[in-house]
Amino acid sequence: MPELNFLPQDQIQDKKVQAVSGKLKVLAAVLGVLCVTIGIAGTAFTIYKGTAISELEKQESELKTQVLAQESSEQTLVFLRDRLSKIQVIEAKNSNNGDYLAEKSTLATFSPIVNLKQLNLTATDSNFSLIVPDSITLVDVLQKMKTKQFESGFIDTISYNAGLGYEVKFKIK
Amino acid sequence: MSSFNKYRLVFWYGIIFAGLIIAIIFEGQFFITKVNALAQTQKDLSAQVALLQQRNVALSSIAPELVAESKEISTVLPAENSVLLVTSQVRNAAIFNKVTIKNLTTNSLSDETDPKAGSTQVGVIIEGDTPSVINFLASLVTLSPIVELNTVNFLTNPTSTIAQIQLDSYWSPFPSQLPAITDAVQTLSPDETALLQRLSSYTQPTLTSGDESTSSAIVVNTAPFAPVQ
Repeated sequence: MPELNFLPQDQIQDKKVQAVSGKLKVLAAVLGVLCVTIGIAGTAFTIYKGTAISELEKQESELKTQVLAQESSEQTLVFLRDRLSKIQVIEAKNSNNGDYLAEKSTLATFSPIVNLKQLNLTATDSNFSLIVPDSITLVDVLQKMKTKQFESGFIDTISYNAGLGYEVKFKIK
Repeated sequence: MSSFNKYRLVFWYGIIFAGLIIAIIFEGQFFITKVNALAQTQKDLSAQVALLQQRNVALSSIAPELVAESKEISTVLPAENSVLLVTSQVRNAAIFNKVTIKNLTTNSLSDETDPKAGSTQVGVIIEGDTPSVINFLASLVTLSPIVELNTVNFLTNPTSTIAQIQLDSYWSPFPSQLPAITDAVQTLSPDETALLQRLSSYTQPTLTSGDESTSSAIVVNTAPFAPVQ
């Protein structure tokens, strides 16, 4: 059956124009939906982030209050760290205190008949001399001087005096 | 039919289509900027909260003993020249170890890099028997204010032992400001804790204060120029 069109001739649209307008209509509808979707999603995300941020701000405020309440503890900690770091620098500059205590503890292990004759301690090295009355004790002293504390030291001289015994001079660098 | 009427629908749908594309571009740009800004704010706040939590935990974990020890440490490394305390401590150590001080000199130097900080040099010559001199030297090492043996010359004679000692003692001003609340708090390291324990065992100075019950009454001499009887 033939298609009838009773519209006036000037109002009959071209089929190609109809097809283009139909496609534009669909595309416009899709874009409209996309635009609305982006708007809704963007707004929802903004609200979600805003809520999370306000929660964090609340948490930050509470923590700040708690931290400020502990100011005296912080003062103590800052003070101790300051003093300790400076004392560490002082002790690192000069090792004589530790060297002396190490020498003293080693000397304490010697026989009571061993006498300290001389001790010189400077910033760069230290030396000391011992009076050892007999050769058996001398062997014992020399064995004990092989400890870790004196690994940077060496025997400078050993001399013998008939009245005193052996005099052993040690140098430690 | 005019050509506008013929293409009217194409025209209007075209306008709507173009308008929606422009709207989507602007909308997208707006939300991207907004979301980025919010994400950055959230990231910054999260970092700030994490830091504050670390500060809170670190400060809560400070033991109450530290407060007591901090008072002792303030004497170990005082804020000002402590020459009087050092000489007093050296004298006390000499009395305790039964050695005689033959000479005692002091000299203070300021640190050029920090005029408020400096060191005191104490020269002391002592005499006594050998074990006493050895113990005296060892006791100096654990004195508060901290002293460092600079030089020691120790010589034993047939009758006695003499030691000539040069000591250094230091002072440094106390810290005057706290770190910003946004800075992380570092608790004491194991090395610092060990050092603190060692320092807290150092011999603290004992200063005597005037006691009214033992002080003598002031006697007014009415004739100060009279011959002494």
